[in-house]
Amino acid sequence: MNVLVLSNLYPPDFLGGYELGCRQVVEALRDDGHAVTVLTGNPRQPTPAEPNVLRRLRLADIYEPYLQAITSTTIHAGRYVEANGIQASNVYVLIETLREVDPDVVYIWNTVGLGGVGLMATVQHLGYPWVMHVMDDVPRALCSLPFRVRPEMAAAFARVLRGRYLCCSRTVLREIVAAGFPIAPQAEIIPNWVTAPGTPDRTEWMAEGHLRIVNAGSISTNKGVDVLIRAAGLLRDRGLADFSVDIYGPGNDPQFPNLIRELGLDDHVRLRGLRTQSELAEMYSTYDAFAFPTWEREPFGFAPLEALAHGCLPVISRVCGLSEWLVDGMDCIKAERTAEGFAAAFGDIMQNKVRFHELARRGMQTVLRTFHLSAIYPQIRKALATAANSPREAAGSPEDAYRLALLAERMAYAMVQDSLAA
Amino acid sequence: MPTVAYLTPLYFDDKSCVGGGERYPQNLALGVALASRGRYKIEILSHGPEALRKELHPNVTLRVMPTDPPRHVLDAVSWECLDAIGSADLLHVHQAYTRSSEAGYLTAKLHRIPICVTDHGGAGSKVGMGLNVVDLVDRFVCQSDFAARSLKTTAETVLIKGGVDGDLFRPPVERPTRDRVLFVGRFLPHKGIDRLIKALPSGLPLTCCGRPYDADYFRALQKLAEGKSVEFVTDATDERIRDYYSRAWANVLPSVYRDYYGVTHMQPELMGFTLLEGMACGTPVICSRVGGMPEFVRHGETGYVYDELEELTQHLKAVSSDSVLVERMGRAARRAVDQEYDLKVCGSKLVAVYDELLAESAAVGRAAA
Repeated sequence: MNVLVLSNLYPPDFLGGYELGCRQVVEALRDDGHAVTVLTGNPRQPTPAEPNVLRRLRLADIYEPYLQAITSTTIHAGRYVEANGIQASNVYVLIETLREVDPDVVYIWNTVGLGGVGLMATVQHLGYPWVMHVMDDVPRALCSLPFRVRPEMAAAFARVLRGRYLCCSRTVLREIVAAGFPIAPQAEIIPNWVTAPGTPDRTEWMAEGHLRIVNAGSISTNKGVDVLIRAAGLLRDRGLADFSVDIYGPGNDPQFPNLIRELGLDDHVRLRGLRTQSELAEMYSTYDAFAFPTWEREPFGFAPLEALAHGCLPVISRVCGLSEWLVDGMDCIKAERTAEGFAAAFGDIMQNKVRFHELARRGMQTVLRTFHLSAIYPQIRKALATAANSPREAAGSPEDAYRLALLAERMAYAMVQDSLAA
Repeated sequence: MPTVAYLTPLYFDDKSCVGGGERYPQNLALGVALASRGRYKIEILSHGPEALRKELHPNVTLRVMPTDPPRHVLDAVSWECLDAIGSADLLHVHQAYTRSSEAGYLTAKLHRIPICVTDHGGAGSKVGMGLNVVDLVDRFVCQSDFAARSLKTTAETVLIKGGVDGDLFRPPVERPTRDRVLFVGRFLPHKGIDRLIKALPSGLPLTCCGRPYDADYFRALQKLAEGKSVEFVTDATDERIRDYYSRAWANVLPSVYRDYYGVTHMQPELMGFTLLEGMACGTPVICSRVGGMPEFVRHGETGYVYDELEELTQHLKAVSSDSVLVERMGRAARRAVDQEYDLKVCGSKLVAVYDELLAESAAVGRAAA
């Protein structure tokens, strides 16, 4: 197959698992003999050139902290239009790239920042089959023209854009459908994966009776870092003090170090800063449990799976995307997303109320067998091949596509201006 | 049954606008419904402050989509358009250059729905004009040669002249005495009503019937009319207008390229809809040689076309003093409507256009599959 991949970021420029996953699948496709061209955004830092990776699309980086600090509603509204709705210049680049590559299928990842609706509509207009890999509620984000989802646009999105969706969990699919995007008939569920070989020969956990808990990801309340810190406080207060919690990730929100200090947990909980994915992978085998008290909107989460591949048993929120895939008491421990819930789960481990070694070993085997990319990849390849071989829709002209993009862009700005003036 | 969405920024009602450009889509919709004998369903989509949906005729509905007041009266656009147009099989846009029409082009193209456009000369948003968006159109339906010549597009053009409701506007069973000159239309400077008042022969009564959409101009007209027998009627119903047509020696449309204030209008009249209404009522018509109007008036047979105001004065004297001439011209005018300009005649031509567009669209889909 000749595949064109569309993604806002592409490693080494990345935010998290979504982009890393994209690169992993691209490499798997290439290893399998497929021709893959990546069309992605201008990198946010100088990035070395690499073959068949075209960093040509203009990225409207709405997550950039400096730009987020700008308080002008008008500027934000304009950036939302560019990021989610339409950037005609990116449509032009896409048209040119499609002309050069003429792919069998377009494989769309996260397009927030690129004017994703316009790009997807262009792919559809030009008659190329496409598959979108959904690891977050991207369709909803794309239709948030500023600053909320337009239900009419959501309905039109689903009706006009007739591709396939690979969703990492039912949680994320349900969320997208509930937001007004009836994409379920076009969607299939394919879980996230690990690529590391793991530590299958690991035999030791809780050395000297000490429970080593790790958490990695963004340091935020959405990810439940506050829940984890409070759970540590409860454990300590109950006399279960032989544990430590290391939290890795970006973020400088003072509430978390303050909470640690306030609860007198400096000896137990440490904020360890950002580590690369490979550094984390090396460290996971030195930990016993991966705490994942994330919110219920969490689509999946790569990190707990990666940790489990190294025998680090996930203790996860009972309701979240990953919870659909792991079985409580078999290959993970599920807890209510409260300090009490997580403290109880850790307490059970420390008091040997669960067969921890057995769970960790079985979980590790499950991940390496079921959730390894080598096991997931055939499903992805099949979905791409099915799309590539499906009957093509009539192709509109590139000239019309670009003219429509220019029209949409100018109309969007005019409408934003009117709505702000009203 | 295929649904044709008629997208028009304003609709024919006092809550929106009472003008030919608004009555015309409504008449075409009726014409298509009648001529196709129920093969097509028409949904007229327009905008206003309050939502409204009502059946105007079997298979013809009006749907008003709520919007905030736009900056320009023709630039209202509702998010509901996405669904309303996306659910249709064909889009017929009325007014080529408005934000409403731009939204229509975009939505229809994304949904792969064929687009047909009739321009009525109104202009709101400049975005589409700068991008030649009319080249996205599959067919232009023009109401006159003049309208067709005014277009700057590579799109295919079809000429369908007329669209008057010959059942609503018809000669009376017993014609009352003809006793006046008549103007019917919006009181706007490009209509040239000031010129008609100026040319009006002494002693001849004139009834000006229409909505005063320009208060300054209306005041100017009232001042010009002082000392003359001029009546302004601003709230007439269709029934009353029909009565005025029946009582008139002639229905005059004196539109101008350069108006009372010196402002130039490139397309003052693409057709002159009230001319056709008068003709349908068996009343002669007189028009200036402006826009598309002369194409509808057979000089000396159904009425007169004039260049100079003196000619208008002479024609008004002629019709007011020769009842035989008036009746003969009136009958010829009605015949012309029956044969060429009635909405059923136009509807049948338009059905052929829609059939062709839908067949083309289906063929493209089949070829791709």
